[in-house]
Amino acid sequence: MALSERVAKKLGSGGIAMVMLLLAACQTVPDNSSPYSPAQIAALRQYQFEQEGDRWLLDLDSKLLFPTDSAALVDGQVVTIGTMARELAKVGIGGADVEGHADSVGDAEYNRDLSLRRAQSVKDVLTGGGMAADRVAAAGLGESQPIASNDTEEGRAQNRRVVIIVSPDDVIPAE
Amino acid sequence: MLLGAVFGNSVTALANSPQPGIGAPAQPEAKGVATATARIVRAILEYTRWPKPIDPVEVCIVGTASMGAAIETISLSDGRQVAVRHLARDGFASSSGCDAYYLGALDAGAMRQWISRAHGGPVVTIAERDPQCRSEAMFCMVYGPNTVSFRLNVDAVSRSGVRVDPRVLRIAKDR
Repeated sequence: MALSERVAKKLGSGGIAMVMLLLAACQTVPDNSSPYSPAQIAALRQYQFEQEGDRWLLDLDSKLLFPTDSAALVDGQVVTIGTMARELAKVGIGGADVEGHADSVGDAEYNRDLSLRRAQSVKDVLTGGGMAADRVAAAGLGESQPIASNDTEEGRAQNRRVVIIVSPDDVIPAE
Repeated sequence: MLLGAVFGNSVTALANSPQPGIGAPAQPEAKGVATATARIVRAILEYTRWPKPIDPVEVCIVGTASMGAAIETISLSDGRQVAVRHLARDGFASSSGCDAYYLGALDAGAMRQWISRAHGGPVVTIAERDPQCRSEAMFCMVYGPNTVSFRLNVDAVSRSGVRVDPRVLRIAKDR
């Protein structure tokens, strides 16, 4: 099936968000240290969309970035996070750790609060999607954990993020 | 539980003791830990969707990985082979062709470099020593007193060139 058809097919189930995020991803300057060119990455991702049928997988749509000084989610992100909560529930995952981050612009204390509000925004949608509020922990890590350079706007945009971390409910015995 | 039975038998089958790493002396239950680690790595490899079919899956063990001794014994349920390659902590030049990085004892700088190399490309990252999962590795091993589990960083998956089936999170329940 052609990529465009597949995307169109997904429009009924949150596909608009997917397209928007795809476009946004295309405009993002990749990490300079990656050995893969933007063209290679785009080709890889296009290929992936033609795999797996309609099975939901964790992929690039799961990235949660925020505008400067904002903790508000756009509609597309709300759809993405809600879908994630429901799909994780299907495999028995009802909780998550949600960690908000900020870029280094502005006061560190303010950024810690901003990052917590970002995490809280995501937590609200996860719980709205069916996760239990007492099993979703929101934390604000401020500007302490950058994943890209704060010297460029592209890098700062990557640092204004929320990270969702999930674990199996069970553990494997090691004895 | 079936898992317990299978697991108990496989412990004795493990031949090699894990090599003690920096700051992580071998424990009496080291074989069990290594086997449980390999079990989780196997699930990760089985539930990862690379952009193109790969066989064998090449796992590159970077630095000293004291829990990774049994990774070489992994066989995937779909018949694909697993090939293990050991790389020095600065062995970036030899990393071509790796489908997964299993990251052992690395300082923060080297860790960052390996993670950013993987960004955007079709490489799975598994951190052995980042239980908080803040290194932006996709999967992070979590070692308890008698248990082994892992965490999944959704943001890191979204920055990668692979997709992950969330059923990986059922590893301890279904197997």
